[in-house]
Amino acid sequence: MAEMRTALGMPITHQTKTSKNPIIQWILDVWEGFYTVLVGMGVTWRHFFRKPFTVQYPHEKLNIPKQARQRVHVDIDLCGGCLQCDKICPAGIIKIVTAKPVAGEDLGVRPNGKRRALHIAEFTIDHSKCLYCGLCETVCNDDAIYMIPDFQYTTRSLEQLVVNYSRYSPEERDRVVAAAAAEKAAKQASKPAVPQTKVSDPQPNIPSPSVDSDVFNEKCPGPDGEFK
Amino acid sequence: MSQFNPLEAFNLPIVYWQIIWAGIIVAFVTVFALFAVYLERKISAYAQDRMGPMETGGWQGWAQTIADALKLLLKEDIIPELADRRLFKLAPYIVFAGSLGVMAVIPFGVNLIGTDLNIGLYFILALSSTVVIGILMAGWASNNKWALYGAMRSAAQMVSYEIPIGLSLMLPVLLTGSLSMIDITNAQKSGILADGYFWNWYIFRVPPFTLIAFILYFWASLAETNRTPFDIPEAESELVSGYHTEYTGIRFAMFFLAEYANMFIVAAIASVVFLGGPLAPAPWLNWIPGPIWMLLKSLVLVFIQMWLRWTLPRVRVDQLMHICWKIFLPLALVNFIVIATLVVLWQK
Ligand code: SF4
Ligand code: SF4
Repeated sequence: MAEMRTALGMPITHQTKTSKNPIIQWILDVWEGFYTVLVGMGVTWRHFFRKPFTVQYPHEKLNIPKQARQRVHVDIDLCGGCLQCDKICPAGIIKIVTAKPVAGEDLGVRPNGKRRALHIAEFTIDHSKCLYCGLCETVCNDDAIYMIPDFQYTTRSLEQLVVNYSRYSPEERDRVVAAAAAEKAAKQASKPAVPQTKVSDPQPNIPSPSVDSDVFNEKCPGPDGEFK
Repeated sequence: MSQFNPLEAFNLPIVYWQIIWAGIIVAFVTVFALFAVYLERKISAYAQDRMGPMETGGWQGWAQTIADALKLLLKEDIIPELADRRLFKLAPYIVFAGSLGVMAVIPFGVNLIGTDLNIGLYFILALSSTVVIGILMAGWASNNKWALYGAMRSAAQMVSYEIPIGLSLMLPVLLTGSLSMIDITNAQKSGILADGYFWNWYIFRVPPFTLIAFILYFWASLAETNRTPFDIPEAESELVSGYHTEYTGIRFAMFFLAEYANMFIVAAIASVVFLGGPLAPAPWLNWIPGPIWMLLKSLVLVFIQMWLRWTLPRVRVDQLMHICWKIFLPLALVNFIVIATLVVLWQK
């Protein structure tokens, strides 16, 4: 470290002189008080000529580390619709609606070579509630959901932060969902006609908890923290 | 140029001249306050490795304080419900008038002065004491404990520090034999060494006593203007903002203006009394007019005030009183006695 000097270039002495005579002690004290003020002024003077640490933010930006978690983004072409991200998200802000393709319909392959097994009819993320925990990124097998370096995504209203990444318009979503449901219903309807050949595989008719039951809806606070 | 006499040049009756000069002074103080606030922001920024205002007005944010002043004037004027309305309204004007009145006797050139009172320096000390009344009024009328505390501290501090200030300013008076600011200025033109040089200024006249007096005056004036390290009347961290906590809009602007005007005034007094005021430091620099030297010297002192402000922490109330009564006062007294003795011996 460079030797510290006062504003007038005098070196800083660290030992305080003392005297038995109170008057001389008083003079020494006054001198030291004055001297240390000059020391302080010297420090301030050097700071006047330092390069500022701050940057003029909208005009210049600091380099943000690559691994910084700034904004969740979905590459919808890669997504297989496995719902892993939806299940892990602690904020519960990912809403995915998938639909099976109807018989004979082929959705082709994804850019990573895997077969596209499902319509991703809707993939909505409410960015206003994201915790930037990065869990969704971690669990995704297809690297379809990840963080992008964009932290300036302020909008005029909260609604604008709810982004749908799916390629399907609401009408298309309703169409594919309805088609899948119709096919499923048709299959179910045709099932009893098929005779049960496997007697060794009895299916006990356990009533599964219905998602629509009033009990479930009233007790569970939703992602908003309110009872729905 | 330094001999320019506006009274003779325009052949005006003295009353007209004084009214014009008052207008010039008010305009000057306003512009100076805007400039000083900007300077203070920049200095504080650079002392802390920041940049300060950079956006408003383009280059280096030069229009920031103008924008702030406009905003301040457009603000709602609030008077607290339980305030003493008449005192509350009156206080800022007393503070402002007390500060500005001092400008009447400060010479900007050898002849450029509002009025050359033969008791100039005494007038300055007397008038700046009225500021205390205004501050106490503001603190009391606000009906707010922080404002009252700030006002009490301010009064205690200003009354105490007036003594070392008065004793330090007496040295040049002793050496000149006059209280008139013009006489004090002119007396710094010649001395023992060659005439017209800076070593005839009172700060260098009787080393080291006048130098000590100058330093004492400068430090005590920081307390007088409520600036760091003696800014305990407005200690933001303890008292919100002291005696003007409750003030808004134009009335707050008055206090603010008075505060920055005060900074300039104490610097101007120091430059007239100790640094030769409008005199050039050497005869071959006489072509630069006196007002420019005066402004230059004052601005350098204002800069040092700000430099100190961003260097030193605030002292405690007891430390403040300790510095005044146990350090400044003995030093000022010894100074005074030595110079008085010297002057008497000299004249014998
Ligand atoms: S980062 Fe965390 S909170 Fe945000 S969407 Fe992913 S899992 Fe949810
Ligand atoms: S985890 Fe990845 S593949 Fe699965 S639904 Fe989420 S984004 Fe799509």
